[in-house]
Amino acid sequence: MDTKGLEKKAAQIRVDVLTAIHKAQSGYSGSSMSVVELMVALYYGDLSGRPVASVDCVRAGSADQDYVFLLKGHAAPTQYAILADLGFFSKSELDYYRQLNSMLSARPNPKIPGVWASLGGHGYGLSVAVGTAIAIKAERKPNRVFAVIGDAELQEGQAWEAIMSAAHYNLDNLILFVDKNDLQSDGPTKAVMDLGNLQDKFEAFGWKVLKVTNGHDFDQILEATYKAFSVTRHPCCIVCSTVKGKGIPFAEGKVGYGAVPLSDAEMDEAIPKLKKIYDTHE
Amino acid sequence: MTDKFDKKYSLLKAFEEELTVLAKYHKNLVVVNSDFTSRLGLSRFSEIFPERQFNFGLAEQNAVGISVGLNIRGKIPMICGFSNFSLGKALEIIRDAICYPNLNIKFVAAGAGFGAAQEGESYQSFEDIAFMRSLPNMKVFCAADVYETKAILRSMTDEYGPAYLRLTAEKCPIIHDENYDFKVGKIDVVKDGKDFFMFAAGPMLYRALEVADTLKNDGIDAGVANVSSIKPIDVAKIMEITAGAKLVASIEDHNVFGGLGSAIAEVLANTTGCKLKIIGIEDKFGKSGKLKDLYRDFGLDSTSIYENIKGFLKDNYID
Repeated sequence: MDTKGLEKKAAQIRVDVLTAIHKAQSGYSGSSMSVVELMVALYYGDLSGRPVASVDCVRAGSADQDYVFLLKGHAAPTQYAILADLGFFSKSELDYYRQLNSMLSARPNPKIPGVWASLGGHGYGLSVAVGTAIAIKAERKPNRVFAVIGDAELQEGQAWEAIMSAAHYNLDNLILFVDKNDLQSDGPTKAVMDLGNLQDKFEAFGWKVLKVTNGHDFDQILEATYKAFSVTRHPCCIVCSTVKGKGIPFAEGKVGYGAVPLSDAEMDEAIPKLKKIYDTHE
Repeated sequence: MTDKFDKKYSLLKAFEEELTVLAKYHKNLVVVNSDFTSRLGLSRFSEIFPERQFNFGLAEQNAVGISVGLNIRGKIPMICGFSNFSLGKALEIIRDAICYPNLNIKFVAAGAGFGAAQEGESYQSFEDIAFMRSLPNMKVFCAADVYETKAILRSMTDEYGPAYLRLTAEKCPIIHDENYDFKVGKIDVVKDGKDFFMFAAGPMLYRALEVADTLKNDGIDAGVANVSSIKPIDVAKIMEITAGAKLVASIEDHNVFGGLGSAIAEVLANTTGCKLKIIGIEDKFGKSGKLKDLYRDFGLDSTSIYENIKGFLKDNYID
């Protein structure tokens, strides 16, 4: 898919995500928005003719697939919308997100086709990604493990246990994207618990670090991913500067829209703008 | 008390021996620990099966999370450690990432009760039954001797799902033999009794048998039931035993809140009019000390248990 195609796909996913959260009257609109381009790049992007992440809904769970772990579990609708679009399950499931007895739980769980682990709490998801990568290396297989983590989750000590062990095991089959939107529930991360210089920290822990200055620019994301593919002996972290609420002009950069559904009026304002991006016949 | 139980065997040694056998049959079984290889007596296993042993250093939460990842690629991790660290520190992850999706991951922890002795309260565990019991899908087992340890390990790896085996580091007398058949959710009555019954597990089982022996001298025919499967618990057997009896006791090297006694009380609350005396750690923390001293200090050596039970029987008009 070319850049234009990816941008249209991102807009479509945004509509699906906001609609699902609005239907449920519960969910993390702003938080789900900042990872859209990262997730779309992983599932739909290609690098010199091959997909970034090799996933196939027909052979979901087969041993030669790549793994995409959305560690930022509260942004689950973004992954669900993509999995539905790719045919892992019916799109109608999105209508029941977060509702009683629905397949689509608030946060990812492995009963959902295309999801590999229960990723509800904070801090342990990266350990799961590391464990998968360790097993793949032990099997001497070429599969890759992609993980997307929020910056605030890096405040959890366990995240650093996982980061330490990834370098110990030379997991060059693991690529971690940091959705660095600089905000968390209670305000800017700098004010709540300053993460300091993430690049320095990851490098000190033995990782290779790449930076994406605009985490919503597909060319930049794919260029960094391409570079990450050629890193050997070290796991690679791609720190992406993103905007919470990206794609919803009145919500961009605001903490307040992070953990809530949009109101009816807000949906009426936001959705048509997004639809315009992919409804055009260019 | 009697010297009936003079042949003792380390449960950790039993664990390592059985692991070596299980690893041959279960090709996907891997052992995960957090810098406890030598302390758990797993050095020989790690020499024979280096590719089946993962040591993630002093990071118990990471060890559990990584095990989930290993399981995604088809491995069956057996996470080993000391209850307070490997389970306590990682409780959220065990609950969320293993019990909730019902993954085939096993837990074996030493540190149950006083076993860690002079290592002190931080290594002794009096709360593990309580918190592991409260996790849906988690099974909780407790081994009394070498043969039971091996039988439970076999059962755990043969059956699917999260399971926890509680082991004491104390060398325990041999009660069963190699034909012992462990059944999930079943109580094994190791000694029958007409007048009184004691429910026990782990290192308290042989102590309960010693108490039964002493009660015999007082003309009291006491029975002993081995509750090695604490969750799921044998509701039918408890009801059968207590239907006939008016008084029973439970004996555990665990807090009186939330452990074996509580599990039995939960059954009795709904059923017979039988009185249950829960004997265990009286909501206290442990201390450093030699095993023998600790059991006596906390009133859990056979003599103290006997006195405790005699008092209970007297209060309830059985002399």
